[in-house]
Amino acid sequence: MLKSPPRWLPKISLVLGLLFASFSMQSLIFGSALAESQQQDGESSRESDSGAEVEVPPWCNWVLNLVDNINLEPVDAEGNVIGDFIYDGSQQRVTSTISLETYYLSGREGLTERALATKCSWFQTDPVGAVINFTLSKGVFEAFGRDVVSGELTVRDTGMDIALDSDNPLQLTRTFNQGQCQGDDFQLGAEEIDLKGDNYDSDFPLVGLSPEYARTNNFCSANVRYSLVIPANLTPEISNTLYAWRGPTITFTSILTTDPATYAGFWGP
Amino acid sequence: MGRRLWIVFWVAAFVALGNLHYASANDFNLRVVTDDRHDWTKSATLKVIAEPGGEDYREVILTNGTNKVLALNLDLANTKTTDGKTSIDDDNDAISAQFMTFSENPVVIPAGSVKKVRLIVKTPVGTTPFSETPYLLLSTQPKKPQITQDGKIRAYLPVVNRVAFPIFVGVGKYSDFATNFEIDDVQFYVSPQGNAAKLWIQNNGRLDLPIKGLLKFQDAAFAGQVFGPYKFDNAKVLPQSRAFVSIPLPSDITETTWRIFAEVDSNDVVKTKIFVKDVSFSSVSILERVIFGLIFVLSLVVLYWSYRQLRRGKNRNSDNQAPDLSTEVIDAPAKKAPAKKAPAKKAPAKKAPAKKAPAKKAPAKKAPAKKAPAKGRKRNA
Repeated sequence: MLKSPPRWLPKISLVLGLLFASFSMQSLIFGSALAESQQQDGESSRESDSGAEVEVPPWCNWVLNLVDNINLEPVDAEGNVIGDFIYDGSQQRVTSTISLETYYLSGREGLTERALATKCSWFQTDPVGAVINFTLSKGVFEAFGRDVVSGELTVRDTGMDIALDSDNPLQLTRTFNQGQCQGDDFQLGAEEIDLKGDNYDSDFPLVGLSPEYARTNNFCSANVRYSLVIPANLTPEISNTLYAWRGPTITFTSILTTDPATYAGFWGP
Repeated sequence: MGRRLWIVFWVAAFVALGNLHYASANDFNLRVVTDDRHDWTKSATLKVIAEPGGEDYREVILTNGTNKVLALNLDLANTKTTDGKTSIDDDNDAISAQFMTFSENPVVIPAGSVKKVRLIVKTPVGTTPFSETPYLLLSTQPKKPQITQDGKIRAYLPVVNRVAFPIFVGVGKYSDFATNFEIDDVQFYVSPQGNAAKLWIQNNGRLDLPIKGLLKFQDAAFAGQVFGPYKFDNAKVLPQSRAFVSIPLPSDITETTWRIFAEVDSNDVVKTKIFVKDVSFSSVSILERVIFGLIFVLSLVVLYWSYRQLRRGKNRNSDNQAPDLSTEVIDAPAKKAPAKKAPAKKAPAKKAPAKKAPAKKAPAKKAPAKKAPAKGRKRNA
């Protein structure tokens, strides 16, 4: 007499049967699609047109229009510049004027708006994306008094140094033209940053454009203002003279790449 | 009133514009000079390779797009990764920095002008071969502000504009870095856009392999018309690796035996290969089809058997629960099968009274109890 199969066997068989039936059916019908997913990674070709060019545009480039030096001037409560400012031990706010910064791809420099797409070319090479960031060299504004002989502000006076800290950071306000920048596929950094002793040497992302989205005329702009307070009770070693404070050097770095993965690494998580 | 508002608006607009300073341009750029000395110098990507104990160079053209004299500092830097973010490592030099010199550094470029700069790699004898991809840094020099006697400038922030270009620096035998590839195979498949060929290429070199090329088809049996060329461009194969280029094919290329002519060009090194292939855009062979067909039939048999077994088991279970319910319809069954089974399953029916719990459960099963009279009515009808 035949022994009846264990109870679990039909259930297992049902599952396996369904699995194999599905697999074999898929292999028979969609064999090519399945095989495709098993292949190694490869490169896909790109269609390229060729033809006689009458006019040769310039190469596309990354262009950054930045301020050469950022000057901070004393302002009153209404934001008006104080002409004849004298430091008498009272705190005083100093700010920069609003500057327009532009970051763009083009064959021309000095643009304040997006160029036409035909105004530059990559000449069949891969478009270049960029991560633009900035960092500060130090967390202090160093004070210099005037040399009476030369008349230049070269006499170092540490008593008048301004340390950047949580109570008195260098405040950066960068207002992006959001619609313009995001419409052209830029990634944007923070708009409000307090730069101080514990973060000045970080790489702050400013803007980025992945090579995947780089065309010939991506354009982004922002209005920038820096602000700082000259604290109260600084004690000068030299008095009755003119002072200037040399702040940290701001280094803007444009990292160029044609590789989206490299771009992603530099932009960060 | 409206007019006053307009005046206020225009005054405010002029004040705002007057307060807005356009940033001055910091524009410069770099182009790589190409030449025929090596495979890699034919490409506009920045690669400089020297043999141990030897010297080699690469030239770049720097353009000053501003209307001022520009002084650029050149340097090499590696990258570092902190918390998943990559950045230029200003604290540690690239390995190749010790071997690289520049024909001029800093490079002073007159306004609106260009300057050619040579990047020289010179290594002592016995240098261990290596390669790395650091960044060539071009930095402007911070300007000193014009401090005026009227004391207008109180504090300032010097600005440096720096551009980082990727550069490949290699030290080793030229032959290791030479263009070295093989056309490996051609396969066919159905891509989302339609029929296509995969041309497999093996890069045996130590540099990225930029490739372009074509495929042509001719009927293997009757020769005659040549179809193609079907071209590809701008593809790249990584060093010491195998990759394919996908080439879309028209409907002219049917599933038959073709003579396929493949041509691949990389750094002006052209290689060709002729394949004779039974073109099939389905990647499943006849043998595989037979095997998969058999598996499918077998799966159906197993499914049917499982279905039968499960159904039988289900019937068995329903019979096991019968005693409590059958009390109401004990003489009702008209179906033959249950009638036959009933006597064989007397044992559970006898056991039922002994087990008090099942007897208690019976009233809880209201649904079956209700169904029983319905069946009875049907039968009575």
